[in-house]
Amino acid sequence: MISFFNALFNANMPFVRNALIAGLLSSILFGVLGTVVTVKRIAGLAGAISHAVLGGIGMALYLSASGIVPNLPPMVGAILFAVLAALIIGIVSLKARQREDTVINAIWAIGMSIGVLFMAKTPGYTDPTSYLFGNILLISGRDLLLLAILDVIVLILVWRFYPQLEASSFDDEFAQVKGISTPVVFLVILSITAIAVVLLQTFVGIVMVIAMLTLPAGTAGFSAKNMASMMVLAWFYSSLFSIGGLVAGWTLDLPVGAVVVVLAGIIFLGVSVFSMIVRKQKRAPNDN
Amino acid sequence: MKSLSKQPVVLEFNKVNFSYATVQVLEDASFHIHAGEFVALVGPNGAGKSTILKLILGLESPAQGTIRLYNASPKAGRERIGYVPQHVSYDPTFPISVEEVVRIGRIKPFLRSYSKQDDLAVEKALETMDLANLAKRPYNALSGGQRRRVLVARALSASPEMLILDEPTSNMDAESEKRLFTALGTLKGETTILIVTHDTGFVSSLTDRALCVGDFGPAKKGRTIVQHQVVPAQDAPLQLFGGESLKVLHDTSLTDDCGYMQGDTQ
Repeated sequence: MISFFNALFNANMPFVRNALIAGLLSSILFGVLGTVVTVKRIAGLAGAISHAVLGGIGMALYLSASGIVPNLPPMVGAILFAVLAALIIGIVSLKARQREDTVINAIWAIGMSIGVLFMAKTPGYTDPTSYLFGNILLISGRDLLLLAILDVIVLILVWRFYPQLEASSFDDEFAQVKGISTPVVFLVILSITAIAVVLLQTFVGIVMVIAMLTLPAGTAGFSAKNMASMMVLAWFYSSLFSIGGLVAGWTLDLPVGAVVVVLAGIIFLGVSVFSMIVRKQKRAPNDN
Repeated sequence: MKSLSKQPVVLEFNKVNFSYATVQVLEDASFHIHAGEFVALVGPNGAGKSTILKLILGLESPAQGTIRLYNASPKAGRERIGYVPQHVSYDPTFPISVEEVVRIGRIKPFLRSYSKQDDLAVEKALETMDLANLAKRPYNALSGGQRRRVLVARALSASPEMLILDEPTSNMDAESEKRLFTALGTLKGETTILIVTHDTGFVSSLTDRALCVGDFGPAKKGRTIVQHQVVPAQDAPLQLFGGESLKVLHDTSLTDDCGYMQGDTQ
């Protein structure tokens, strides 16, 4: 087997280059959007949205294979279900005073079940594995373009509305009293997260998207001074994990998405333990 | 002491009713506050103090009755208010410095970046609350009392005409409490101050009037607001409010604006 770097520049293996570009483009979302998801504590909501996406993928595969809607790309179904799930979760979160977690978990489970049911009835063999865990061989030029567009949108929004984002993440009620429409901020974040989850699952898969939206940001949180530096650091960590995962996955012949997540998880745990020890040592002199 | 009751009314509740689903919280609640007053809104837990705060801040709307804040609706008038919540339920790992928290007080709905003027206001608010030496520290590294003072500074940074503090002394150490009330003393008169507290026995000696929420309204469905007399307390614990306190006389009920300290000439 040729090395990753030879494969990268091999004209017969464009998918390797695509995978690397996908990893780098994904890292912007993992870092920047991941920081927002982490500090706004909506990782659970993002998890429900990402899993519900399987329902849309299953539906699109079924409609396409059974000839009802020929050539319907799975991504169309995925986006439909993601936006629908985000809408329901958003309204429930804003309106309901109770049972919010029940609804969120129900959407998580129902979405996945619908996907499994559609796939069972889809003519021919359908393997959900590549959707669940990602398959870098499936990344197309169109996926890259969409990822790049979403990156630009997210960066522009964060640059333009950073003070409002910081205020509503730190203290939503205070931000609202100051005239910021916090429900709009919340729904915009949720919708962007929904679309991002669909695009990002091509790289790491449905199950692991949520890990990559939280682990790099969580790792960055230990040393970041503010939200902006957390975003930049998380972006850096995500790029590191993505490239590291690609090289290791290629070299050891392992699924790349899983390697990326394991790498991110190990570093996050390592940094957590390290910072716990440092904090204990810092606190020790005050105990006397 | 000048008669504060001649100052313009800045906040007015007129026969306000409010319910959460089937539970009526407020019934026929009326009160008003004049510019420059230092008012304590006291009441036991669950009496509806937080609801009153939410109504003042325009986060909830009354089912019946009207609320006027600076002669406007709460949503329109609230920009003149500096709100200090009891605590902030934020992600404890959220990285943010004291200075940055205070700067949030200067935010506008569509502001892109903070100006030099904002920085100066932040600096002044930090000095007022005796926090200048902690400006660069991470907010989550502070003690509970220090954090509370940061939240007061955040409210002050926008130079509000009225300051509303929700349970400012709960879980606060004596030192922080003293610093807080010293700072509030310097603001008294210039800034209208409304303190909400569940301590129904004593209020700070800075207090001009005490409003009590807790008694049932005429139809016995929800709580209403009664104004009580306050007198200098002889038996208050010394560590309260970093100075002298006043005692709330719950067996008195004042119906007009004359609920100032006993002995004041109106």
